[in-house]
Amino acid sequence: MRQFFTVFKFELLGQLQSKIFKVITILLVIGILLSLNFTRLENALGTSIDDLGGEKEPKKIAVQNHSDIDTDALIAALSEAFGDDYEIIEETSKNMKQVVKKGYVESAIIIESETKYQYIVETAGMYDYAQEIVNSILQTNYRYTYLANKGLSPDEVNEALNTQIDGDIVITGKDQTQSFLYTYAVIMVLYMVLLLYGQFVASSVAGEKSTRCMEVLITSAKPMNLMFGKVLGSGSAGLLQIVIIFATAIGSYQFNKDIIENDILTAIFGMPVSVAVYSVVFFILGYFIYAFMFGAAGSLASRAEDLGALTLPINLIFIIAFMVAVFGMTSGNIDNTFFVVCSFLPTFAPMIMLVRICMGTVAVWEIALSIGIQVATIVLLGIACAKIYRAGVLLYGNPPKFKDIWKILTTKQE
Amino acid sequence: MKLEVRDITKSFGEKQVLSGISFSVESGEALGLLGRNGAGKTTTIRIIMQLFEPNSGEILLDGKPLSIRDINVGYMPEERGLYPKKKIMEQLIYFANLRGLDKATAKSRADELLEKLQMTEYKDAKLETLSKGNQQKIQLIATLICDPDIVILDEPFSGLDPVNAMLLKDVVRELIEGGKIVIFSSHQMNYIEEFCNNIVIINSGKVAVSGTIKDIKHSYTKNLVSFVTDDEKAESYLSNDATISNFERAENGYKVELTDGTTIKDFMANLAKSDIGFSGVSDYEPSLAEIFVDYTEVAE
Repeated sequence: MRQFFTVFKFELLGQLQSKIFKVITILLVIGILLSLNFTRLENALGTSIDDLGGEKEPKKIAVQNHSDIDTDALIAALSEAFGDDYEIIEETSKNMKQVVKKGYVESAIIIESETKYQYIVETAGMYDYAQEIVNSILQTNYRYTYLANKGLSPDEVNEALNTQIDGDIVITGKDQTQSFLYTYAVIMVLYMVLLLYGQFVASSVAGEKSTRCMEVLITSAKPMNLMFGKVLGSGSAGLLQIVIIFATAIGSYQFNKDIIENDILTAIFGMPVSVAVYSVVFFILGYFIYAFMFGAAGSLASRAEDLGALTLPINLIFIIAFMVAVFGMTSGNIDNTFFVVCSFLPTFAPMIMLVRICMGTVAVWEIALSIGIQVATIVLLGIACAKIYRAGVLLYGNPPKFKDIWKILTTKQE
Repeated sequence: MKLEVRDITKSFGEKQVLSGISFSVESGEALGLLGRNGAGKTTTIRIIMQLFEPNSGEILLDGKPLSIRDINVGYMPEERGLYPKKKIMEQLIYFANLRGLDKATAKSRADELLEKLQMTEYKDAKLETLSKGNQQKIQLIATLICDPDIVILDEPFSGLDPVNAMLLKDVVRELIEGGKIVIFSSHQMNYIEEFCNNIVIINSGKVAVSGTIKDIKHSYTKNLVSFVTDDEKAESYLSNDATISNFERAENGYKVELTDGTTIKDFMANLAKSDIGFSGVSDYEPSLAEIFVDYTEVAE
């Protein structure tokens, strides 16, 4: 046990004192502080950051009207729909394409008839909603005219088209529209941190091997103590980093809660406490599962260059788990059999079970079973990893084949 | 204490690396493991350090199977093993802690050894900033920091300049005087000759010869005579004497091999009857290097 603590302390301090740890932590903290205190900073400076570049020119949209619709009414409707960022102007040029191409206007709309128009734009953006606006205006106009022609009074037309429907939603389980954002945030953080620290364990072990420190270490201390000390030491540093980052984020959010008007942030920080607690639990479980695998890969590498090939299968499993989690979240269909099975597979469970907890319907026994499976896996992986570590010390040359690894695992060691 | 290596064999896959290595060494003694590159010295040492399991044979300490982590042993691997990016004092303390020393003792031991090896000024430097020879001295400190009872040094002299070699020699001598068991491998015969009472010459995984240097030299020189002369007629005399089976030029004269049954006395008596001038006849004293080359070539 004393040996374990010696290794633990050495690894933890080594991690905390490393430049990369300090730089990443400080940069993230500064980034979070800046972004969450943005509104307050703006207020303090007495000016909006957007205003700093001077008055912003609104983008121009040219309109040419060949239909029976009243042009002024059309321009007024478009101006209202596009908002202040756009200025709608009338343009009579024969060659509208050229007008757009030359950059005189952002885009152009040619209304050919009441039900037909052309939208000309240089680059069609992902989030270009101009067509939807024009569609809706033309459609509304058409409906009004059509119904008026059928003899309905303007009030009747209004009544027909703009009836208010009163609807209420009662959610017995989870509201995915609410939970999606914080689940996404938690899964992203989990993904990045697990990968970062897993890779760190792998390269640290490979480094000890290539500098032959391992030869001295292994003759001084038990492999189990060395491996667990290293994994726990680095993991604690990772956990500390996460705590610092979350504390900064939550603290800043609480401080600025009343002036922040961003729905995304509100949704992320509206995460229930139970989700935060589960995130930490699954971070810890996921970290151990992956760190031990990465550690074993590190001890099989003879040089740092081999590490990529050896960690590739682990990275693949990890990325697949992440993809499954993200696809599940975006599809919203997370209570299907595939997803349920994945939430019990040890290498998938840390992320998938977390997604299910956040966004789906999970029984307590399911969570307990998943955690139990993960803990059992960690114990087995830890023992296997220590064995591979021990046998890997003097394994130089080509990375071993699967057959050799199996032999290591099934051979009894002191 | 007595460390015994008994009939160790080891193969890597098809390749038989060691076939029956045995030797023993006691407290206050230094044992030199000699052998050409690839002879099996490092493998033998790694088996003693339990980095490898032997295929057969055993390592005993005072008659009981050795358990390397339960005894106080200092091991300096052939390819040095320290953290290049860590500060020297920090890692010395770490290695000492792992071997059971508390922090304060580790620190004072480290200071003492750094002082002795003239490395105090580097204690807060990172290892990678040091020259190869200085890194090796740090490695030696890491090996000795726990005041081990058994010290195993794999090629300790390689890469050291004469001044540093001298420092290391003093350290090794102190270890022997302090009653430690010292095992080291080396190519540099002069160092081995200086401290080792016992040597083991390994050739192709077998013990070619072992014992005290004195005995080995003695058995080796039974029929060899050093004949100091500058007489030009000496060569024709030597080729015509029937009691001489072979001779070759050596420094100041000849190295003469007598036929079986002929003694140095007979040689001198014959010489007295001739008119050859000479300034000395003595038992031939071979260098260890000569014995080494002889044993490791013959068996090939």
